[in-house]
Amino acid sequence: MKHTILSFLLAACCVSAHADVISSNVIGFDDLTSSETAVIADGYAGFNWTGAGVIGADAYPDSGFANGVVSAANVAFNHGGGTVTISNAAGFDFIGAFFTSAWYEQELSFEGSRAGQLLFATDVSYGIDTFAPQWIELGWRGIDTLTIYNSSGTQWAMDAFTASAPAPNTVPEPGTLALCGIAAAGCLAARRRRPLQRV
Amino acid sequence: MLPSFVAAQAAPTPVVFQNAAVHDPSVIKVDDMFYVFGSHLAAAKSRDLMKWQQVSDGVTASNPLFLNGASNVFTELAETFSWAQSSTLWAADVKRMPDGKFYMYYNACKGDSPRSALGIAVANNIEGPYVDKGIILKSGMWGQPSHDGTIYDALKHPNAVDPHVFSDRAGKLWMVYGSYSGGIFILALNPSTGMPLPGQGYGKRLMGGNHARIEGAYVMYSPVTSHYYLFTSFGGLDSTGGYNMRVARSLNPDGPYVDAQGNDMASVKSDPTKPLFDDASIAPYGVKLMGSFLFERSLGDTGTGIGSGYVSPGHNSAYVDPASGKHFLIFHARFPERGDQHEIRTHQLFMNADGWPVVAPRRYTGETLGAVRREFVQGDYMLVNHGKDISAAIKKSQPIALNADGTVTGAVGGSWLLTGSNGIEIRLPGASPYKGVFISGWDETAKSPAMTFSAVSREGVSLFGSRLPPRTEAQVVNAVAAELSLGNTSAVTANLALPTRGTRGAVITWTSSNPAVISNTGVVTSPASGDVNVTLTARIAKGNTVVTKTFVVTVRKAGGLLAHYTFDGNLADANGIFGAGSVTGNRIDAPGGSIAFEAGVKGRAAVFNGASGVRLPNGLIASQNYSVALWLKPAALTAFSTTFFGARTTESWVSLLPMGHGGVGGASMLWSGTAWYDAGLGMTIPVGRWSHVAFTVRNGAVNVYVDGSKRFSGAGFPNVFTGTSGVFALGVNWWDAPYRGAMDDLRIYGSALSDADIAALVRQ
Repeated sequence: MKHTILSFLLAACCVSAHADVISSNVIGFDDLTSSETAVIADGYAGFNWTGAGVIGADAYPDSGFANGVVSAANVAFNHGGGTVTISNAAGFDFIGAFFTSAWYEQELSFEGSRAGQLLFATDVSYGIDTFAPQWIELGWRGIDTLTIYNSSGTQWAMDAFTASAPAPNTVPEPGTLALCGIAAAGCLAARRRRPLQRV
Repeated sequence: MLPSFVAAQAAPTPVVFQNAAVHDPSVIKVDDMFYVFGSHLAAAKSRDLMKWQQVSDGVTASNPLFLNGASNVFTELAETFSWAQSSTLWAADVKRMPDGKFYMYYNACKGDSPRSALGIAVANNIEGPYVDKGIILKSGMWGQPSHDGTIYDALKHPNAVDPHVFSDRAGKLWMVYGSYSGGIFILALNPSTGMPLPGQGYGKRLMGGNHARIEGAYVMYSPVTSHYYLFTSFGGLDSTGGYNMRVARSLNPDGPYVDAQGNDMASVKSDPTKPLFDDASIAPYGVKLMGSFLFERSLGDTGTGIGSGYVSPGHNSAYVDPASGKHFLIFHARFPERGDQHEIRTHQLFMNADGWPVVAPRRYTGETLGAVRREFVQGDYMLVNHGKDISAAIKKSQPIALNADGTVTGAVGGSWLLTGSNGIEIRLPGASPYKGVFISGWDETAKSPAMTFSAVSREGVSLFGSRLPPRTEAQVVNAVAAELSLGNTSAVTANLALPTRGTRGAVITWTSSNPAVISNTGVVTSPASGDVNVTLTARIAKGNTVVTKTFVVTVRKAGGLLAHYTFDGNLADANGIFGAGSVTGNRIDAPGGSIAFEAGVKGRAAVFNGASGVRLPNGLIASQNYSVALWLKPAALTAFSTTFFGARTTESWVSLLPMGHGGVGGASMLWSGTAWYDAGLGMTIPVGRWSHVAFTVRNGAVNVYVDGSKRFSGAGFPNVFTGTSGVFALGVNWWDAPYRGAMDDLRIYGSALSDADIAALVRQ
């Protein structure tokens, strides 16, 4: 699987900052078959996927699908322009991913939860355009569900979804999350993250 | 929420509108098709409320709504036209009755008085043909007993026009109607026959009187609030009349209707001691939903043009979809810089926390009210405050921000709350809280989805907000700088309009390298001789972020010859100031075409073949003082074909026509639109022979000459060339058949030449 140097660096940075993270996993969706209608099957790359599909970069030239490819030749996208959730019951650390809006400039926001409890939420949005993939790095540790919201109800492309399995016995309790956030910010300048609380 | 522009999976569905013109559109849904019927026997239909197909337009013998063998609208409604002393019809309303047939409540009015007739015509099919069942109401019977037995008095009796027929929750049938005069009335109808129940006279007055400018009544029942809502339009319907839509509500179909402050609308009428049509008496009342407004596109914003908005939107109907629960407001609107042209518009209505309707700020594209996330609704907005006045002024948007900390900053200060899943409450100084909703919409200027809000206060004032995408200060100033232009600055003779504002409150300040020639505010003092180059520096600031951009401006000698196209085998400016013209196809922006040259009055002349034109450099004229002179030898005369054409926009232009329209008897004319100015010359320049044609403009004073003789002199000529970005062409415009014939020696001056100057040009 190919991926950009940048995503390597970012993932490696995060790994080195957290000794308890034992591996990182960069998912490029390139081993899936492009389909506008099929959803990504549960279990793909160890995650369950809701509301997400995979489309080839060549499906819509000049769209954000084409411009948003980081690893050839596919990107994931939100079916019908809706919300996507990505989950793993065993828990995972979400590091980041590249996002590109398919048709119109729009914004994304994220929530990370574990066992139904909201652990992280972005309180401001991340703008994405249709021209180039933007790396959005959150460094959220110990979640089992990542939810991706978007502002306009239109499609976006995601590539190089980067997550790592948590080390045994290192799933953080809520009280430790702020400290984790500080560490991640120091490494990757994670922006606009506000753990635990929502406005 | 999933607007209609979202496909089921990956592909987008383009937002496509198809517009139709129906003034005073009254909606009825038949199966899956929405129909609107309006004035002048116009009708249109649409399945999605976005793409409209015109069904009919104009009271003509061929109008299909009444065409029925040998019968047509004139034969069918002869009694109505005779009574109203009119040949047209006012706002119709169609209601499907229990017999399955469609009942059209038609009406005609004399116009300059409330002499009107209102009747019923019935059809088996919604699209006709309608067969007259007779007049049910008349008004304007001066000196005669009216329907209530008293002598008709226009101060208290209604004008029998503009009906809306509706069924209430109990199955009773009603008709609201009226315009100006004695006000808006409601009449109980027989639910089986649609005819008025006996003994009511004109019915019950609900609002208005003493010729208050209130009309376009429509009643909508909302199952959300269990209220009846009476919509009306206040003001005058034309583009300068300040038309605006208002609403009042009642638990009963026949009132009393009250506004959000509890004012009984029955007491709202003009002060009879004031001059006719006194708006001040009525302006404070009713909940104003929408008046003339503009989400103004600013320098640095996405898209092109002035922005999007309406002028004198009004005379609405409404529809509540029983399946989705969506409420729709359907009205006609005029548009900024488009004169009195009008089109149908549909917007969703929502009920706010107090049960008052608010209107989606953007036209309907299939969106559904849904939960919104706070991070997607905070940010920069364009804010329109509709106020409470009845005014021709277009309410332009102002920049504000809904900040993450709950404050409102920018053009107004205050606070805001996201209430529930999609509610908004804004508190601004001097008003009750504005309550409404956040709803995603389609920004027609940016051509993209945009979050919006709509909210109304207890005082009956509505706010519209439309969100701008997040930008840093650096992005804002750079975008403003990228777009900031002064047009063609190679030959400036008049004051420059130097922009002082960009998007989101960015401030532009100017510094001149030579204030004696161009001041820091753009005032130009032309040198006595020769050209002077001046550097203007724009400082663009947003917050603490600043960028600069410089412009070199060449100021020309005052009043001199700006451009001189001799057509001596080429399209060059012999004056050496402006660039050469370029050949176009059959429209100003069409490729192709060809220009030949032949012997002319002086040297050679350009020959236009009827399928080509010449595009001249932008900014040839950029002031209110100028002269244009040229020789013309038409090969044919075609109405509207232009020779010299200049435009600021497609709505503001000047055109020199060898043959004008019928309004000047087809004479040659200088024409300006769309603030329409007809300078007919009373003669037509000949075919196959050279004529010298010239016009001069000095601050609205216009003179037009043929062969040195003044053929037209007038005042109030539109000020078209207000900037240096004007578009100029010869022989073509955006619309009409190109000129066919020859042209020679085009001269453009930066001042209005005298009669003697023009005569001298002919002799040269």
